[in-house]
Amino acid sequence: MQDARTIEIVDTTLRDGEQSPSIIFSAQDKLNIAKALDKAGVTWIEAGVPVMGEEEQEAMKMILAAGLQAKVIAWNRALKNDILSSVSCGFSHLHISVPVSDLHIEQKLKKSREWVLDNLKQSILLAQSFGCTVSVGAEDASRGDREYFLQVANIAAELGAVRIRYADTVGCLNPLGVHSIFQELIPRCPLPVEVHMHNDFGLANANTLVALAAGAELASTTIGGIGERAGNAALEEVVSAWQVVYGMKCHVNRSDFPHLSHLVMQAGNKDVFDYKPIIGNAFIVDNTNKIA
Amino acid sequence: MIWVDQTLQEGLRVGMDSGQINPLLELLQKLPVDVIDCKVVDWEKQGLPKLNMSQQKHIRGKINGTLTEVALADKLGFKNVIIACTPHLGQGLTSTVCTALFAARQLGMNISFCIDNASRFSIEELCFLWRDIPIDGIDSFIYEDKESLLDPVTASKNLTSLLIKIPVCLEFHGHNAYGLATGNALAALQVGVKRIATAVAGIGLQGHAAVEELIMAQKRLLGEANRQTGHLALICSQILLTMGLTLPKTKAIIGQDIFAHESGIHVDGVIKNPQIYEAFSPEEVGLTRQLVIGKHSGNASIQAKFRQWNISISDVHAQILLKQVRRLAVGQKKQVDDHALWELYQAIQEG
Repeated sequence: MQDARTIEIVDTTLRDGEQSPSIIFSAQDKLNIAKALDKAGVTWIEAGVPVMGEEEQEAMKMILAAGLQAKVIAWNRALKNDILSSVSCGFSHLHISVPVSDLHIEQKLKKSREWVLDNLKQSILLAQSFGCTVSVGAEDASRGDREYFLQVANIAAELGAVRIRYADTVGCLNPLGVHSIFQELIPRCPLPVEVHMHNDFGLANANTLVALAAGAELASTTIGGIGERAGNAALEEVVSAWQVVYGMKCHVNRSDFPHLSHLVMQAGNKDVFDYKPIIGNAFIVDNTNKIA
Repeated sequence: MIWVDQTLQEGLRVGMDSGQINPLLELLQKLPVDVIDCKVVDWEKQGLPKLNMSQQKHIRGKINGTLTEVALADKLGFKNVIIACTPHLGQGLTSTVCTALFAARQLGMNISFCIDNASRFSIEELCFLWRDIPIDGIDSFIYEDKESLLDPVTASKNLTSLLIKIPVCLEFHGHNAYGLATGNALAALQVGVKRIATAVAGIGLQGHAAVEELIMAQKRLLGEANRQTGHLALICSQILLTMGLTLPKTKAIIGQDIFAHESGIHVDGVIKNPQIYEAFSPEEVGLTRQLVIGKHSGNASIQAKFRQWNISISDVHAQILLKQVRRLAVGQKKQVDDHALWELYQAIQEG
């Protein structure tokens, strides 16, 4: 029998979740959701992007002042302004994201791999100069060169970053592919790996779980799977599948999911599809029948 | 032939009558599904008539392994049947199931044999159950994961072994209680399973793998040639509409909003090259790309939006507009539509 491994959740409902085109949370919504995530046992909450402006910063300050058990993270590009905005809100945990695929580096940034590494180094040092803990995000890692991802991870590790996020930015991985990638990647990666999977082919949850089973230690999720385009891996599905299907541990309380889902859907003015696993009516009704 | 439809069965389960079932069947024929499964008892319960010739070819009736249900399937004209059972661990097939198999064989039916709780058993136990089947000429063996116990890696291992050990066509029928159905079905496809249960948008009792996700994953992630997918979003949304279901706007592959880009970084990327933030192009499934202005917009989004209106906006003006856009979006808790954006712009021009 395998030991029951424990994984942690980095919930990004308030950041990537809110980037879902039809969703805007008020500052009060954000605070309520952060509190509910904290109560459910989520250990890391990615709260937002302070550089976006005053409205966002107000919400961030409210969350930081709420005295949560969870550690609250600000999302940043490797830009001075992003980092200074986060620091001035009072954040002490900063996530700094850099693209790692040549497609993103050359066509979006119009820069080179070397430029990205240099920029990342400076940004980590800047954040640390304010006493912040840094995690590094590798955007579009799934379409990038694996060796370059490891180069980014090595630099992040040398500078004292706490983990690296492997992002499948356009959701183009498949579970068996993830299995072979992560079996090779995990033993070679100097930092704990967090996986951030998108749902463009309906595979975000499966890809996340296969990566966790292969040794990733944290999963990036959103409540109800809300997020850019077709969304992200859903908190409730990742935790339930990890606990039930894989028989492993994650200290998030599954009985909080109906409340979390209700809170987010109401704040985002959205309905849950009846056939959405765990939180959809088709599953809830069915569970009730089973109990009755 | 790969995809085995489970959408019809969900329609019957939720009580669609014959007036609603016929349009549904017509729409299902537009998808690349060649076999359409349903439970014979539900077909009867909804008062549907005996299958016509064309239905007999496409529709396969699932029955529990009893003589009564075999007789019912025969009465309703089912030529293709699934005889399903839920064996107990450590026991072989019951005599009831064996009798039903004999009866279906005598009636000349094409028989698929399904173990509903197959994922509860080891490969050896499944082979033992297979050898217990008292008749020859079984069309296919259906491995069903009724309780959603499988993960993709385990599914691929189990199905790889069964493909070697079971001498007939192997089918995989997974469920979605934990959100792994599409992942498991794709793994089945990758190891060579030739028939896989799917439903539009993954609907069904305990859910299924979503057919639209698998069609596009096969095409885009496995690079396998595929039939036309240009009408996929339309057909799937029509099917759900027939069933009284509203397609979520962010449903993978077919949702209206999956190509709506709002965040500054994303819009900036998509303008430079759509591939930066899109796994496939909207035209491929019959959807359209939208640039949305809202809280997460950046300078580049504002400038791109006005370029669509043939107006060039300076960085300074874009920044002023952006501040107002964000305030408005947060205040009204929704995106800023074209009309409102234009009004903000006019105010700046006048000021």
